[in-house]
Amino acid sequence: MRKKGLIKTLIRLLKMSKGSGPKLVFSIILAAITSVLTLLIPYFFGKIVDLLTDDVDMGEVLTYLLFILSFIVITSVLTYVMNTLNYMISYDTVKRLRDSAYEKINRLPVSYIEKTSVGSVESLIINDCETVSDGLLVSLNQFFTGLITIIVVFVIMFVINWRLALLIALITPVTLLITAVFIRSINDHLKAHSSAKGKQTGFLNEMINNLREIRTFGIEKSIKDKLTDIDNDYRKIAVKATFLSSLVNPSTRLFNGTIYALVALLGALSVISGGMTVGALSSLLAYATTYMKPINEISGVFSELSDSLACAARIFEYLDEEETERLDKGTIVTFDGDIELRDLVFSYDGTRNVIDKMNLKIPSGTKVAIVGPTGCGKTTLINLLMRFYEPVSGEILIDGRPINDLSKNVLRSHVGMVPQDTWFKTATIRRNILYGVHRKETTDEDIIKTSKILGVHSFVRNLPRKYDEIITSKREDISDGQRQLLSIDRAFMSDPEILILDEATSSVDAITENKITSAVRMLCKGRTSVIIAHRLSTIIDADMIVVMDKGRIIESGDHETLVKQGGYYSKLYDSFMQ
Amino acid sequence: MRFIFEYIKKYKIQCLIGPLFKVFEVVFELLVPLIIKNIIDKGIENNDTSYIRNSVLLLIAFSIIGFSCTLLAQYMSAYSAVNICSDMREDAFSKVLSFRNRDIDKIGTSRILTTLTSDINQIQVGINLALRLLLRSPFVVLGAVIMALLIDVKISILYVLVVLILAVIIVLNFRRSVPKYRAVRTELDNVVTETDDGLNGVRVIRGFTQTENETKNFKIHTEELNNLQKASARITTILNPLTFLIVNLFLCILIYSGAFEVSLGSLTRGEVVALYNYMGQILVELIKLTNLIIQISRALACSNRVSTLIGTKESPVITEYGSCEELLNFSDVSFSYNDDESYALKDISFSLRKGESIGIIGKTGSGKSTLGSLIARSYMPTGGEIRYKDGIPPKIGYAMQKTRLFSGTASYNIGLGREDVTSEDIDNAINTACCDDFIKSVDMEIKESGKNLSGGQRQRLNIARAISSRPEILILDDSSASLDAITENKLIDKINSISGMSKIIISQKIKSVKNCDKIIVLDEGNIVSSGDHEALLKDCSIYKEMYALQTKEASL
Repeated sequence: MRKKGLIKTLIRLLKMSKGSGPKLVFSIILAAITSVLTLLIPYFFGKIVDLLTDDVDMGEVLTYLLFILSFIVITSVLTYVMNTLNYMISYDTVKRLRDSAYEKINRLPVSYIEKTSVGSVESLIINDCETVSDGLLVSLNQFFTGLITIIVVFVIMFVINWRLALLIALITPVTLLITAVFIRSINDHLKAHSSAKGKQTGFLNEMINNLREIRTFGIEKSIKDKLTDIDNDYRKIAVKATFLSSLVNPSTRLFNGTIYALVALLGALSVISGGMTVGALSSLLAYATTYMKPINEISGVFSELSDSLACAARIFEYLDEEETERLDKGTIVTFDGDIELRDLVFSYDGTRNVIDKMNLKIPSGTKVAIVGPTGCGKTTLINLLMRFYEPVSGEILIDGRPINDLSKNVLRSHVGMVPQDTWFKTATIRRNILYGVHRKETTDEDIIKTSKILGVHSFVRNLPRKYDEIITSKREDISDGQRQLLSIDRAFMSDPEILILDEATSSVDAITENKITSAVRMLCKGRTSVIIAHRLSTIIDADMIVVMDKGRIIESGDHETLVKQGGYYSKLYDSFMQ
Repeated sequence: MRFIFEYIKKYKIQCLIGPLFKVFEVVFELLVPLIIKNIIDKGIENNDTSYIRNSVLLLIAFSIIGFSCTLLAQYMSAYSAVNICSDMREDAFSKVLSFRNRDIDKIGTSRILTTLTSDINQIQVGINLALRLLLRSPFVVLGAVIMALLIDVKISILYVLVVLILAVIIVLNFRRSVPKYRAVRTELDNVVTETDDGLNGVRVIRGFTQTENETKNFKIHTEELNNLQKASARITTILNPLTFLIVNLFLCILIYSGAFEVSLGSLTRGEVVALYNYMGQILVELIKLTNLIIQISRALACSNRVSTLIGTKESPVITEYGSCEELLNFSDVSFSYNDDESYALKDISFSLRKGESIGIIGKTGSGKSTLGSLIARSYMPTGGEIRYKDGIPPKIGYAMQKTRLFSGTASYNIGLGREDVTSEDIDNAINTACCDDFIKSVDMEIKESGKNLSGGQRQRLNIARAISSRPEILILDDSSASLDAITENKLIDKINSISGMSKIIISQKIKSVKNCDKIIVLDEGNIVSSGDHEALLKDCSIYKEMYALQTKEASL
């Protein structure tokens, strides 16, 4: 463990969680006071033992007892305050860490989130944040308490009998060395343990999300066997790691036992030769035990510290990922909705261009349909227009202004999007329909009015709690077609200047689609709309049809022109006619 | 409690040996103050150095024996804790695998995941600590009380009093803290859901400029979690200082009355030191015990959640089927997602013969996909009866409308490790489902949920997966929605060319179903009409309307 890393990490953690820094300092001070007070109790008790002769002075006993009594009360109160501070620090830090990690999601490029597995970011936010707040700060406190205890005990022992105190002090480094060597030797096992656990969690995460598929294909048994395999490895590794890490304490306890015996021997001999009193011996023995305990604890603290430092490093690495999104509001602009693509090039992997030198002008208020085989770059184009991704070269202009000059929020608030994958927030249908609505005074009548036009109302009406029904991404009694209608409803309600429909009605039947076509047409009126579709009915009345293949525009024009051209589009058209 | 014991049963011996050897360790620890007492009262008093030396050697021997006992105990408890919890996890996972779709809908996947991972981990920590310390601490306390009793009966009453008072406090505290901690776990589920939403909905959240709102919303949940955690900690934090206070108060009384007795000559100095040491041991153990109690209360709250999950009664599954002439026969089948009167399907009757193809068409929300999942036995009917030839359900290949792929190779995603799928089947499936243009090698890596494929590619892989096992019935649910018309036509041709396989083709496109032997038209969960393309064009108004709209678009 590098000290610098620890201090840097700690400072950053404390900076994040406001008020935790002073609390931690205060808590450490309290720890110092309470450990000193606790340690003075055996000292005074030793004094009392020395009074226990044939002629006991009860008055003096009482005086010492009063000292002890006041120490006890103060210590209890301070311990309570200290523990309260500690849990506050811990819980506040975990909250701040989680909040920042969540905020980070919103600032990361879409590409990062789509490349990383959801499970690993989730485990970072849920588990790692907790390990850090629990481990780092609490063990830090233990470390300081231990250190103070060791120093105070040593001083007291030195006062009682400096020779014995020195002897104990000389043995200490040996104990520390033994534990250090031991901990280093089990470190590999601990690492193997956490990676085995990670593998197990990753597997469970994927399988639980794929339960429907597992059932459908009847592969429960083979999946179960896979878990058993993973688990069998895990069992072996976990037993070893758990056992080894639980050995630190007993090993040092064995060592302590020996020291204790040694102190008893030399102390007793010293009492006989008149070097010290029996009371002093009893205190010394009590201190020899308390002296060793924090050393045990500190060794335990080290392993916990290195564990949480590793987690903290992982969190900070994530928090330091390059950001592309800024949450600034930007200046509000008015949009006409003229879109122009200029020499647009884009590549996901840097080798193959998914969009290859594309040039396209979409005048304000027109409807453009984009067609082409799957994987030809249609959805990528939307990603660029929404600035989920940035082009490699070339630019997109809206009303003659490069979209990079606008804040992303401003750009997106003018664009309504119906994405290919329908996603809804785990919340009520009402909340989801109003998702992009910024004005506050939308009434239920407004919702129902548009929902009726779009065929949403007819199925929501039949749900037990209607618009207050919670919709999730997995809810089965709402069909895919219905989800798409809801998704259109959501875009409709946000009242955008530019509308993007990415296969918005692929799961909707012809009759329903026909019904909502007029609504969608109405919605598109006065707006620039970009539509990706495979359905002829949605494409056919577009002002311009753009045919894409391998990231290039291979044909463009209206329906009539393209059919006459006899290219890809006319082939596509023939397939419809079959 | 009982739930955990069910799992402990299998590791009875380990779970007994562990604590037993912990107890041996304690016995040796408890003898230490007694030896010290003798050193003071006999060795020092009589200037007997050889007695002192022998006593000290005994002390060292005791710590070595104690250490060996601990080794065995720690190993047994680590072994039991890990294995008990792995058993529990595997059982819970098996249970989850047996859930019907509707059970999963009800419980929620975030809840299932936290239970299988972090809840069970908490239990593991709890069991490990409990095996090591739960018996040890009371035993030390009891032993200390007995030792005190041996020294002085009158004074030992103090010990009994301390132990009783603290026992009451611990039990009361325990009762209050368990439900609080359970509330913490439930709120954690919500935070998990929010995180999941934030990650999966990234495009929509940004597209609708809701990042700020979502962050605010997330913070509301973490705030609530923070409050609950603090409320739960508030209860348990008092335990530690309170124990310290009470034990030390009694220690003062002990010393005072001890001193009094010494002055009367009824106690020796060494005995007072021993009594003091025993009270000290009680204090150390009780503080450990309170920390242990906090851990155990957490583990118990978590075990409640695991046992609720395992104890969830899954929706009934029909295992006995009636037999019929055809491959499959539905008679008056009804289905409701919520087990109420809102039927998704009502009085559905039809049959499917070997080699026959049936198209299912209807408006959005008319129950097409629901019918598909009933045929695939993903859901059980709430009314009516489904019969199979000879009462045995046929092998089904089901390409679901919305689907998730697994991380792994393309060949795994198609074969899914099923014994009845050969590598030749996989190659054939790739060809039939028109996947050859993007699957160049069966070892191609597919990322979690198919992130590295386009929507149309995922759909074709989904079909390949369904046909690879050469099913008797193939169900295609809207499987070509994301395909362009050219690829779609190619796919339809290839699938039609598979002979001997019965097919259920669910679609909203007339084109996809019109060549089927029979077409069922659904509307609001009812069969409004069925027959072949020509017949439906004559009789069924919905079908006619759909056809008109779709041919209109074709002839435009």
